Amino acid sequence: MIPQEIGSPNPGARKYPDLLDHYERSLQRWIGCLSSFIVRKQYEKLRGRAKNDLDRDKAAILLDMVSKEASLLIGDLQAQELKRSLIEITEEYFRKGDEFEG
Amino acid sequence: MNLKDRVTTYIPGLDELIENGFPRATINLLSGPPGSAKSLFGLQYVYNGAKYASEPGIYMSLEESRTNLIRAASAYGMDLESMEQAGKLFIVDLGKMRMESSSIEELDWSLVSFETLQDFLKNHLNFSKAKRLVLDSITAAGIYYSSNEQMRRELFRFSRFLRDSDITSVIISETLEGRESRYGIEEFIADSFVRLDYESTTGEYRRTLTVRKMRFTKHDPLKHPFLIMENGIEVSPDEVIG
Repeated sequence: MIPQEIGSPNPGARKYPDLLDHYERSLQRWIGCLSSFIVRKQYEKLRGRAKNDLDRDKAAILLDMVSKEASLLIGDLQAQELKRSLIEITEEYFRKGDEFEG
Repeated sequence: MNLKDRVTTYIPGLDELIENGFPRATINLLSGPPGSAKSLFGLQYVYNGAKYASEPGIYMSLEESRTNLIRAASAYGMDLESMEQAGKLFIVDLGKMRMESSSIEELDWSLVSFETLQDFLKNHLNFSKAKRLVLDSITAAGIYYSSNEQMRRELFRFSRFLRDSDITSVIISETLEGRESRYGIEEFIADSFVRLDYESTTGEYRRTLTVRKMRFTKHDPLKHPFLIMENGIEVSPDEVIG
């Protein structure tokens, strides 16, 4: 669950948090492969030079950024639906994380 | 395809030249040099469709920014944002995406391919139910390919997808002076070919429109002048140049 950068000492480390994959899949049904670009670009904007992590607060900001950016491609109505879906995904993601950590 | 089923452009004077509009589910190439009002033509086509025919449309820009398009359209009385809010129009600014892709690993994104456009549209059409599409421009998509042969193959595949999608497309191609289209192949895959020019005739510069080709249509092939008026392009169907 702990995301790590490519090139970190940990073999098999991921560049992006798993949550981004879930966001991408949600957005894919509206804009196909462009969803990957939008989700990762917004994440990189949010992360800036900071270390690769994504807590609940950052995730809330990110899903807002992704929905806003996507609204330019899919319109406001669909973007609202997308945002609801991303909120659900985020809650589920952190709930499972909490359960795992016990 | 029902050949009587026409997609009216509502561009004054044009529909008279082409039996009341483009045949439905066709690909219509619009070419011309820079400054010949191609984007304005495209904006009128999708905006008028949403406004007068309640046909949802997508304006897919690979170069001009969304802000510029909205501003340009408003200068001619077209309120794109209100149509967007009504869910009848989608101004898709892929140029912004290309601008933001600066690193080498994002190069594929900065050069949008026909495959990417097709994948995007396939999903978008599921919910937007768009019936009209403007791609501005094919020139920007074409630079993705390293060879003309590859570009031709993918463009052909993309054109087949568009025809199967029941969408009536206007594909914009920016040309250099004296050339028909940017790559010399677009006019062959398109069902129609409309040429815009800005040229000197009898000592004065005039804007002209010529319908070079239109399948399934008894069209007027002559060169007609057009003006850019308060509400955009107005073609003079009764006046002929040259």
